[in-house]
Amino acid sequence: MADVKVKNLTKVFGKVTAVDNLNLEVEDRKFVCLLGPSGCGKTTTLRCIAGLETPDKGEIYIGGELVNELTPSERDIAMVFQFYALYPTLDVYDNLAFPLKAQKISKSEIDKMVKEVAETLRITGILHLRADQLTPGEAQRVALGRAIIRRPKVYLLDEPLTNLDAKLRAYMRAELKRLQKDLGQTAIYVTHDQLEAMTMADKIAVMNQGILQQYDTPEEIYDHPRNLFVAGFIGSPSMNFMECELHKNHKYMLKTDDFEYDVTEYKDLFDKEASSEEVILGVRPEDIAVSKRKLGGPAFQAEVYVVEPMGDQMIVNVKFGGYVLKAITEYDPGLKVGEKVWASLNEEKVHFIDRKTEKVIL
Amino acid sequence: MAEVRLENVTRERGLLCPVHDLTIEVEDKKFVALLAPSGSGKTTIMRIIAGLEPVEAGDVYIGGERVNDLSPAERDVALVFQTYALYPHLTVYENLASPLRAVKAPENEVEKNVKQVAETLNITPLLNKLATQLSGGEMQRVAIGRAIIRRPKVYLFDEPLTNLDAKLRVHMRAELKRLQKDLGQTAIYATHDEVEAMTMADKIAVLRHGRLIQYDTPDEVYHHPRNLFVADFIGSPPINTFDCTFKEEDGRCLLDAGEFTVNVDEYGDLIKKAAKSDELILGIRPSDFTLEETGKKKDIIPAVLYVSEPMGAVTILDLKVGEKLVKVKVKGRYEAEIGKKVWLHFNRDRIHIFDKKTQETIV
Repeated sequence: MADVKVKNLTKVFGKVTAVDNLNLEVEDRKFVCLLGPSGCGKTTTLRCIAGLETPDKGEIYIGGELVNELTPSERDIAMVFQFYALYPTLDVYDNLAFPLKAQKISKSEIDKMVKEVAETLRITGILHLRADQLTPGEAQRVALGRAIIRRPKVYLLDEPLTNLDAKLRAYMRAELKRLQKDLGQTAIYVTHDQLEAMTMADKIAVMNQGILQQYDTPEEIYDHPRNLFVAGFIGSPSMNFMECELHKNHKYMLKTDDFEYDVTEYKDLFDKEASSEEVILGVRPEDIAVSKRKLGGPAFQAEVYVVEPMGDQMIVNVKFGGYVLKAITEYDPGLKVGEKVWASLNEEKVHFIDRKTEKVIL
Repeated sequence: MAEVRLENVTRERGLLCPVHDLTIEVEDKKFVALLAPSGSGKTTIMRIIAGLEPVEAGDVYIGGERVNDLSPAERDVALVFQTYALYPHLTVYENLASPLRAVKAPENEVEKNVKQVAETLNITPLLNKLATQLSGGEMQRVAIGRAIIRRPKVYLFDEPLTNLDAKLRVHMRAELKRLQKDLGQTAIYATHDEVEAMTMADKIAVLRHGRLIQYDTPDEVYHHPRNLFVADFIGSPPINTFDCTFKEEDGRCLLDAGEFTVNVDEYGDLIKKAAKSDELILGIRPSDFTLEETGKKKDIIPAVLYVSEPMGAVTILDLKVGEKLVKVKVKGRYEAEIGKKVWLHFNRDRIHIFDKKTQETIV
């Protein structure tokens, strides 16, 4: 058992409240990402769990035990920063054995553990190679191996993939996710990269300005963001936002200068949840269809502003009112800049956001 | 008229990133991306065009004129770097005005041009701020503004979006592409990011070790890469490759990849003509697979789910085919247990075949 519980955690640096009354429960064996822009409090939270920072308020529990008074080494956690720090002149075996030697573990025990970890990471064949002879992919696995060899209760990872190039990062993402499942140990992973969080985590804790915004599965966070910040932060290209005014007559209409959208079916929802007439309409790029003829559902005429081919897909930027909206569509070489097109919204997937409170209404 | 032409340009001595015998023509008003991993000579090429780096052989033409012997200022090009190089103690207005002040333009013209450029780049509200008060994205826009205000013949962009965060980069990509079309002036854009090159450029020049590998439209580069390097470099996740052996059995042409065999009768003649040996590489892009529950169809590969990566609108599935990890891109969500057995069907019209020895494309 090594669940991690953070209760009412507050950490202040001078005038800045880095973490503000955070409550978070990481279940045993789960992979949880702390996600947010720089300065959101994610690293401070991780450091409090590790015991590298002392909370001003609140408690940290690891495996049910209150650890506030324990030193980092007594907490039995492994903190992993960027995975690169291998000793270049040592071979892979000694690099892996290094954290164990520091703990005065017997030679035969070390040998057993190194071989086990090498097996898990499929690097048995390179144990005799020097670290500076490895390919970047191999070096990463060894670095991973060194982080996991002690089999601590909890892995704490702080942006470990940040310095890798894009291809290697994409490759390591999958490896790391699978490795965590194979090891079956709790992992908490700090990142500013929403794609890493989406692809790897069982649950994502989105933070901003020291405050937990939402804590849910990647699918929930993507489909049902709780507020404007989460809606805008998750997904690339980002969700499109249009500021509308809600007109409450016998029909309920969302209006901009050039567009109106009948939302009467959500009448009760708006009456209950909307704090004012100011409503933001949110639509993800894949939920806008671009076509020459008008399709069903809410739609408006727009002008093709820029087309960005990506091979199998493309991003069509359409200009409408004062907005440039991004739509992801199948690759269509026929679309020309300046052309008039219809942009139709997928009604099942639109979001309404209260502009004043920034809460998602739908 | 400002097309840019490099003819047999070589610059090697003492350089970490040399350029070998490069010939390339950038048409007037086009947006061309120089795409290569870092250390391939992109920046050297930009510096050669700008006149900051002499050539050892070959000629550089801008607008039909040979410019080898012209100074950077005489070439009338503008360079935008990854670092913004603004004057920190000057306002945005003064930063934009500086290139015009340098040529002693009259004050009313300076003001007119600054306002126009600020309008184009959406930075009018920032004009009175100091450069040090700006965010990264704002600084980059000011740097671009300073480059375009003189209306030079050619814009040279050297990784200008690299230092911006991911969201802003996606936004600026579209803005910069549109801006270039609106200005209607030739632009050359160096990047290591294939997504930037694909999304922004009219044509992409893929370089490796200082040599031009392929020069084509994004569509061509993606669908008809000239060799394995280009195929692997363009597209994310990258193309899946399988080592295989070419065989003829009972008059049928087969690719034997060990875990599976593909019938390639229609490419048989092509392979026999072009291949240096029986050793070939089969390439299939992650988006060219579909998942099947059974192995009954033709062109099918047995696989086991290794891990799945949901991205929102699409999901990347990592599957084991034998010992090999294969990435497949599917629309929407895919819920399945790790270890589940599935079948991958591929569209035979979309496969690529490379010669293993030369790495050249056969199909």
